[in-house]
Amino acid sequence: MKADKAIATYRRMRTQPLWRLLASDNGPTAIGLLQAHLYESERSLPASIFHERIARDLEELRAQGEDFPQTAQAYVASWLADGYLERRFPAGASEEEYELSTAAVEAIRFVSGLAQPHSAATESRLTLVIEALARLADDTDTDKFRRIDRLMAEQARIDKEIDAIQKGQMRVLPHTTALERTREIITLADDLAGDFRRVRDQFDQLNRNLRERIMDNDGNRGDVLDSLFAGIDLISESDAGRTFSAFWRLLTDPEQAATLDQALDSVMSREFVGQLEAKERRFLLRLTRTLLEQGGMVHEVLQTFARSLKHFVQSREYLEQRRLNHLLKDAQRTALSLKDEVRATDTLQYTLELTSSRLRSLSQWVLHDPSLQALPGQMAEGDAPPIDLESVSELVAQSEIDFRTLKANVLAVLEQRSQASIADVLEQFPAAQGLGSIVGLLALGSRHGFKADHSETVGWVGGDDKHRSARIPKIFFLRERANELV
Amino acid sequence: MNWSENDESAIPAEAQAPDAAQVPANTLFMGDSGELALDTRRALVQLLAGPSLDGRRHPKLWPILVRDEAVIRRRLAELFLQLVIDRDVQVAFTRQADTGDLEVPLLLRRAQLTFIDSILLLHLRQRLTQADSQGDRAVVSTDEITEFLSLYERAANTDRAGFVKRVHASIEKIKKHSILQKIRSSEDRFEISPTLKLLFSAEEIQALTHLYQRMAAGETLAQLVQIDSDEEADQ
Repeated sequence: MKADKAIATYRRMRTQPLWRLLASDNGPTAIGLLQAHLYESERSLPASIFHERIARDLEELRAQGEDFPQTAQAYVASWLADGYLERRFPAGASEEEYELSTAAVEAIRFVSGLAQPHSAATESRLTLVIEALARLADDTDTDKFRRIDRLMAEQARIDKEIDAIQKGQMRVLPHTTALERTREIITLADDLAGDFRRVRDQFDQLNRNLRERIMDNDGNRGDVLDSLFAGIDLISESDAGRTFSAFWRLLTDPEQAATLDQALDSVMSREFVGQLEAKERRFLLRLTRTLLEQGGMVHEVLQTFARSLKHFVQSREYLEQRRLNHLLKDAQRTALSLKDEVRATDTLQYTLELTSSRLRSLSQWVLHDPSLQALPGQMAEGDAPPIDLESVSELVAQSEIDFRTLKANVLAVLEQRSQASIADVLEQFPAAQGLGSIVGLLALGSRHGFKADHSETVGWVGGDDKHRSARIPKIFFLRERANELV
Repeated sequence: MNWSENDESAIPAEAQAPDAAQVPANTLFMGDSGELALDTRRALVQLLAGPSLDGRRHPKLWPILVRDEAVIRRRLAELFLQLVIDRDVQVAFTRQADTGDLEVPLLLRRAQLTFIDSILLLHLRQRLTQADSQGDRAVVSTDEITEFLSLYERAANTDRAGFVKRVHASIEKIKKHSILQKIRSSEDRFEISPTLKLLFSAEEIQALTHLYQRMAAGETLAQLVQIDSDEEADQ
């Protein structure tokens, strides 16, 4: 039977986190929650925040009549035990952090790929494959003449195209094809960002592995130690290390980075980009930053591992560790032999010196003042936090602000009065696009208005029918500059 | 340990000629006759209060300690204390100075350990070594500790709940001495303080093993000396 091997493999795979997550009863909820909190915007969260967010979502689900009897903490703990989550305690952090395991990341990608199927046999995908194949064939060809021939042919094709353009025949990609290609690029780039996680896991694994081998290698030095003493950086020299370093060099190469930025800028200025979804546009806008951030994280991990491993070996720390391990095992073994003779609570003739002192003085006695125990009578309301410019510019980038109407509104107000602040304009023409209108007015004001030193409060009704308000700098539109707005 | 102190001792008759410029400049409150700058005093108090001055948790005091190490060492010596600094892990704490035959009052607290405490300590020390060799921070949970310590439960024990209670009491005790530190927003997970490496050194581990061996050889518990253990006396 030919299928038996595959069957055995799948049986084994089904016991592993990826498949188990997909198949579990609560799978859709678990995947949905994990995706919302640890995949889409943030990739890792401090324990307290993660628990709180999950608790809030569970509360909502319960309100809709779904049955989730356990606490958020309990669900998180079981996801951790099932291998969907990972918990780490980064140096310098005050609490542990959660992030998705590689298995969970892959489950999310798989499922969301099913939910949003894009026709797999697209033209652009085929083009990518053909181009890649052709380049591979070229680059592996050792025949000098064939290579020159091919370059000549390419040159002829380019000349012909230049000719055609000069004669006024220019082939511009139709919108639909351009869109399809953009989406293909987004998928590729998204996969790339997802790969970082796996690379980091590989480094982590390798680091543990190497250290374990150093620790276990009693007696004569093992090959790992020999290599490390010879100055070989085993982590950077691993397959994963080399592949990643090449990638990182390319990404941080100034020329390549400039090419990427310029290309992105040009693409974003094209008309067809308007037909992309806001999410897709945001992804492209942030592409460089995302790659640099996530790649930087992996790079940092790689460097840290390499450095600490080197230190571990060169400082002979491992020798001390091995010695300690032996001593500890001895001590534990001896203690074990006593367990039936000594009571757990028996006091030993052994004291541990501590490093804290306690100062006590008669002067520490104080009278009890009951009023200090009283709860404060009321709580003051805090100011709303300022929105940073970055998120505002993002809001602008993803919303189509109707500047034409806004300008008309300002002009209409200026017909009646010689100057008007943004609040004055909104009084007569409420913000039709919510925050978008406010941002639009601010943008107009910063270009054509006069900025006063103080601020004012403006209000609008959000998409959720709730009243919102914000403090913004007070900017006046002036009648004498009204013609700028036409 | 006392290199910088030796350097300082090259300055003769320090007591008769205190640094004249310092006295007026550092008067911080009514009746202040101290000589140190405000931050230096803070670092000194942190060391005295203990359990440690930690570069991660006291990022402002750490550089002060490094800068004023010599003078802080001197002040501590007045109290028969010795300063221990580990610059790699950015941790500093005080230890009773080794005064040999000279009998001096002890300012630092000492913990009298029970059998179960000592086993817990060994376990934590091992976890610390393990985490160290992985380059990680050492985190343990109550459940994990209880599970490990149950190896040491008497074979004939029928009171499982009682044993678990004793383990918990032991954890509480170790926590009180800041060797286990609660991690924010985690109910029963703790970080093992890296200072345990310095408090419970290879020599200490050997001494403990030695004690166990003597106990196994029948030098019974009867000879235990009740060293006055201050925290028990305080309760």
